[in-house]
Amino acid sequence: MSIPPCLLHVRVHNEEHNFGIWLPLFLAWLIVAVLLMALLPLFILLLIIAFPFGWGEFMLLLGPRLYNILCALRGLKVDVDKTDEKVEILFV
Amino acid sequence: MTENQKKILEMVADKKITADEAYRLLSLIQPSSDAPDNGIKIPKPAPKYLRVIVDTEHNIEHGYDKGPAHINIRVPVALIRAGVKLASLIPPEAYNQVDEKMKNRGIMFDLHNMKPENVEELIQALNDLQVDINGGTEKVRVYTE
Repeated sequence: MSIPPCLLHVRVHNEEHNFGIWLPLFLAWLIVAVLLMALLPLFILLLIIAFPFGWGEFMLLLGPRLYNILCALRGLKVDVDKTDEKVEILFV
Repeated sequence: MTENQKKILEMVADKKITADEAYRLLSLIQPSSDAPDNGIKIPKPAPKYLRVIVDTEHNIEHGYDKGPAHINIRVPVALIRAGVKLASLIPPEAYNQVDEKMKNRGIMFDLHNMKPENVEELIQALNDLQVDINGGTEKVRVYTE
């Protein structure tokens, strides 16, 4: 089973700042999971309403597809190296 | 040397065929000689990342030239796969609007042809992809790894 990235590494180096920070994304996922659990009854209600209008399948599949996107972010790396500024973003 | 190549050389030695005929036969079996001895071509492993590198000598920000810039993006192929699967959820009416907007911007791309079942084929095709654009002060490289 694939899991979303647990950490986000951001490094900024310019004239004013020079820092690298590891953001614990797994803590954010925990909060999101609790929120989703709380909103689950409302989502089920919306799903029941949406199905006769043809949007049910879309709503049902949207969650797993977005979760797949989140999981696939693991390994994404962006480096921007300019003359006076350097930024690095990495999903781990 | 493969078994087939050996047989051809033996036929030349036995004077069963001429050198010209041997040359023609050897050139015919040449593609398979690149493959391993059992004749089975091992497929390349699927790429894991799509790399986009942009090098520019002039980085224009707010009208000022801030000198050279180097951008290096490593996109997991899984993200492309997930993106195409998500795109398959787009309602057909929205497809037409997206296609129209893209055509207006000069991008001839039909989203209808982008189906999840074609993703694996697309990713495998990316294996052989390497794009090098050298536009004077700007260089763009796209490849998989």
